[in-house]
Amino acid sequence: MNLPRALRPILVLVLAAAAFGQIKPQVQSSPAPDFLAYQALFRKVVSLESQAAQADAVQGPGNASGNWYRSQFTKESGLTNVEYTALVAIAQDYAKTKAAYITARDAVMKDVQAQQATGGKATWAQIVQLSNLFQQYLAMVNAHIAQVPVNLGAPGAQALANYVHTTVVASTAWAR
Amino acid sequence: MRLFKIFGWQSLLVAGVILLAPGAGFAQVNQYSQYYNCFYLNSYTQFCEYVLGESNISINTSGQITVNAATDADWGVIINPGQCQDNSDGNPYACQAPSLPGPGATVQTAISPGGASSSASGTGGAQLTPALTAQASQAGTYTETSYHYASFYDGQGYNTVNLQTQQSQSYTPAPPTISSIYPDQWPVGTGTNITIYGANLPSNPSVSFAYSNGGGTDNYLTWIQGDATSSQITGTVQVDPSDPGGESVTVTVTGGSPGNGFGEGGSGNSESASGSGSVGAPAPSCPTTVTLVSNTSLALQGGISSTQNFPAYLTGFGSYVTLQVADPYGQDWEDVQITEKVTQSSSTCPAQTIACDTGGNTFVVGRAPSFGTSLYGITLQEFPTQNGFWDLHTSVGTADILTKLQQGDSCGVVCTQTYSCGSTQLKSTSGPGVFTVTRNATHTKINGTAVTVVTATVSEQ
Repeated sequence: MNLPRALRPILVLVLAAAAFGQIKPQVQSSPAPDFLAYQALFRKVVSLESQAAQADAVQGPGNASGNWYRSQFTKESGLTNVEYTALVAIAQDYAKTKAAYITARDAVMKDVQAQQATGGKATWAQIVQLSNLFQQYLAMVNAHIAQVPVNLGAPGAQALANYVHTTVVASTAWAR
Repeated sequence: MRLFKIFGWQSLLVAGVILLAPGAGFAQVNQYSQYYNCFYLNSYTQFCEYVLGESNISINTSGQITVNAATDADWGVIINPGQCQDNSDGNPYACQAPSLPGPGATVQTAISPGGASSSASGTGGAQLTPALTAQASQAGTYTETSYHYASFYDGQGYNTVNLQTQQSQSYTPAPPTISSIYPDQWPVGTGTNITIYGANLPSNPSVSFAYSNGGGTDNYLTWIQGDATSSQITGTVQVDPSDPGGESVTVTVTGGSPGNGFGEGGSGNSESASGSGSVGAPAPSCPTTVTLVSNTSLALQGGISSTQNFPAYLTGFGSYVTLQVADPYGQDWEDVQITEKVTQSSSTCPAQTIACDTGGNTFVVGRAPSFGTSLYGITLQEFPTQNGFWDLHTSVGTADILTKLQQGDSCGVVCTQTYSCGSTQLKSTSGPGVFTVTRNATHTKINGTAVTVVTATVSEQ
């Protein structure tokens, strides 16, 4: 096949990509690009609710109420109070599920690290177990992200997406 | 430092980010920063690493800066069972489990300006504990910058991920204010303890005076101290005896500690608050006012010891009152003598029975009366505040003094009373300082014995 010289590097890249595609096994679908951004958002909401609950518990002159903290967030994000309440439910469920994942994963890792400390390695069964837990975790996160437009509705989900992309995570900066 | 192995599509995406990022440094930064990457360790193991850096800064009204920062570093593996088989049966050609140590994480945070910094490290994550704190030294914008480092070992080598987060917060100190100064008039030739009330006042203030007569070297503070709540300053004003008096004074408070609303040096940071007072005439040698604080009844029966009430006494008693003297400068008048003047305005009682005490008694401010603090078995209350003294309005006798009256009959006397220090009659805070004392006596019986029960009331005219 005769190709112009300028196009040859592109062909190489295409062929290389195709080769990678053949080499790559079919595994768990990749996380959404917003994978971490939404997790950061969920964490922020859970933290905010905790702060609001503390504020309500120490109500008195000069103290902001819990709703003051919530209103700061709704003002920033453009969510309505109803949408915010729906988001809180998703975020708190996410936090609960993630805590369960961390507990299960750390239980396996504790054994792995004990083996590694004595010169051993993780067993195949442990690796498969970690793999299964991780895939469940990825699915859980994606399910919670997918729940946002369902529970908040399209306008709320769009407002939240704008907020996530402009405020929660503004950039990915790295060096490696 | 390795850049690529066998990458999934996410890695190509990240590679694009690398190419677009300015230089090799950090791109724009915010409160959160994330990194996520998955790649294949081999044909059957995908390794995913992810890092989330977050930080935030807050400054309270006192200028205390608080920065929280944390790095989350985590990983996961995804195994494709279709590409390998379990090696637990000892098959040396089967798949091998990768080595999976936990990722190391470090967060380093600094505040600018000021340079306060802190760091923390851990496995799987790191968080500043406790939060980094600093004191805003002046108005302005304070920025925290956090660097998040994570190191992953994927079984073949180490990958290091660096993220940066940054957040700024502006700080404007609340302005200091003076709401009042008490007392606001200071006599010539003596020291006066004053309190300057307000908000956001400094803990180590400088207080200056500006005089309406253009002077200003003869009026000074000998000691000054702000309180922890920034709401008051106390000190002593000492006015030189040569001061002519009668001038108004503007009091200005400046300086102070960081965070209390005052500038701490540097251009554009000085703040002050002003109040007013005045220098009065030379300090008086006597108090100028007398105030009725309380009037306590003394009954002939009940609450009095068995030896000093009925039946030991068959006539009694009345009341004792607590009074307090003062002057505009708030001086201490302890040991000053106060003399009463009592005249009888009217009487319905028989002669030589119940009458006003016109003897012109003398009281010593701050001291117990000559009879001590116990009267007819009752322990008199302590003086309520400084500059107090007692006065008695009692009629006492071991005999029933109204024997000339029928049982059940009553009589009364009305007395007019003033108090003086030296030759000056003391006024009250709201009037001329003239009091009306009314003594009423009733001829009655206690347990079948004829007695004269006396009561006394005091009011200001």
